[in-house]
Amino acid sequence: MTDVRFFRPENRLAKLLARPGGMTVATVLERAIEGIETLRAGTMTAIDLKIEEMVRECASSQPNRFDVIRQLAAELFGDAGAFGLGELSLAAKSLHDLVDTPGAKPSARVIMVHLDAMRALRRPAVSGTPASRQAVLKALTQLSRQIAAQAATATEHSDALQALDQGITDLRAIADKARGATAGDDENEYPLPSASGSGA
Amino acid sequence: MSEVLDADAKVNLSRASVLLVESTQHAVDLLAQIVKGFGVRDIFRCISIEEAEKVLSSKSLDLIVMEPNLREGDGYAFISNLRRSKVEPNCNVPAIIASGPAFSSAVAQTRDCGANFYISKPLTPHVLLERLLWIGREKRQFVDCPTYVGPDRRFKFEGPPPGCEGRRATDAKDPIGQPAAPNLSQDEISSMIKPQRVAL
Repeated sequence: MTDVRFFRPENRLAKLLARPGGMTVATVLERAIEGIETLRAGTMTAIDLKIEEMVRECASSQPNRFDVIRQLAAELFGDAGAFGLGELSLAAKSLHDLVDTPGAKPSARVIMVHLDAMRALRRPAVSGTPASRQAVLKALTQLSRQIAAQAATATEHSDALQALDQGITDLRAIADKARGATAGDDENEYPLPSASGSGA
Repeated sequence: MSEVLDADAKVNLSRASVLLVESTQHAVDLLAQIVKGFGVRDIFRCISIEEAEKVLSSKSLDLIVMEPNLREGDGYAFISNLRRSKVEPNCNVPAIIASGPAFSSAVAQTRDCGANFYISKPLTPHVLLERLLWIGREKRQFVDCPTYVGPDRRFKFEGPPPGCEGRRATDAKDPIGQPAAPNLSQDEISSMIKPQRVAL
C-alpha cells in the first residue's frame, strides 16, 4: 500500500466568502459582463490578427507551424466564445482538433478552408443566414473527422478524398459569398448572453 | 456540478488575492475583468510561468485561475510543482484550470496535477462564479503521497473497482457481502433508543 498522508488545509477562500457585506450575485455578474464588454473592440482586433497569423503560418514551411496554428486556434476558441461568437469558436475548435490529431497531416488547403470559414463567421451578424453558417460548421466538422479517421487507419481512400474535394469547394463558395457581404457593416455587434444565462 | 446561483445571495471577495495566468495579454485582461466584477481588488495578471512564480514567491494568494496551455510553459506542471513545494500557504491554494478544446485529456491532467476544478472555455462569469463558490464550500481533504499532492480525487467512494484491491490502507479488501439479517424496522430501532415510561 502507498504511504499516504491526509490533511485539511485552511480554506481561506471559504472564510473570505463567509465575511459579511459584499455584493449580490446578480450585481457581480452584471459588473463582470460590463467589464468584458469594455474589451470587445480590442479582442475583435486580436481575433482578426490571429486568423491572419494562422494564414501566414499555413503558407510557411516552418516545421512547428502546426503547433503554432493549434495554439492560436485554442486561444481563438476561448476569445470568440467569451464574446458570444459561438460559431467562430466552434470553427476554431474544428481547426484545433484537425491539427491536434496524432498522425494527421492536414494539407494547407484543408487548413485554409477553415480559415476562410473563420473569416466569414467572425462577422455572423452580416454573414449569410444562420442555416448557411451552420452548413459551414457542419462541413468543417465532417472534414476534420474524415481526416482524423484517415490518420487512424493510415490509409487513403480515393472516394473519401473526392468527397473532401467537393466539400472544400462547397465551403469556399459559402465562405466567399458570406465574406463578400460583410463590407461596411457593423462587424463587432454580437451581444453577450445576459447575467442570468447558464453559460458553458 | 452545475447549480443555480441565488441572485440575491451576497458575495464578498474584496479582500481576496487572485493570481490569473493566461496565454495572452488580452485573455488575461478578459479574465481580470470578470474577477474584478466579482469584487476582487488584489489581482495579479501573468502570461508566463516565470511571471507567475514571481508572484507566488512574494504574495499570499487565495485563488489561482490558470490556462494550462501557455505560449511559455506548462500550467499543469506549475500547479503540480506548487503542490509539491510545501511552501505554506500558497501550496494549498485553490486552483482552477480553465482550458480550451482538448476536453477529456485536459480534465484528466487537471485532476492529476492537483488542481481543484476544471472549467472548459469559453469562460462566462456565471460559470466561473459558480465554481468559485463551490470551491469555497468544498470539504475535500488533501492527499500527500509520492505520486500525487492535492485535493482528494475521490469525490465519492463506493469501494475499489471490480478486480482491484484498492490503493489505500483504508480501502476494504474484501467485497461487501449480503446482509446477515433483515434490516430492523423503525419500531425496533425506536424501542432501542427511545426512553419509555414504564408502569410498575
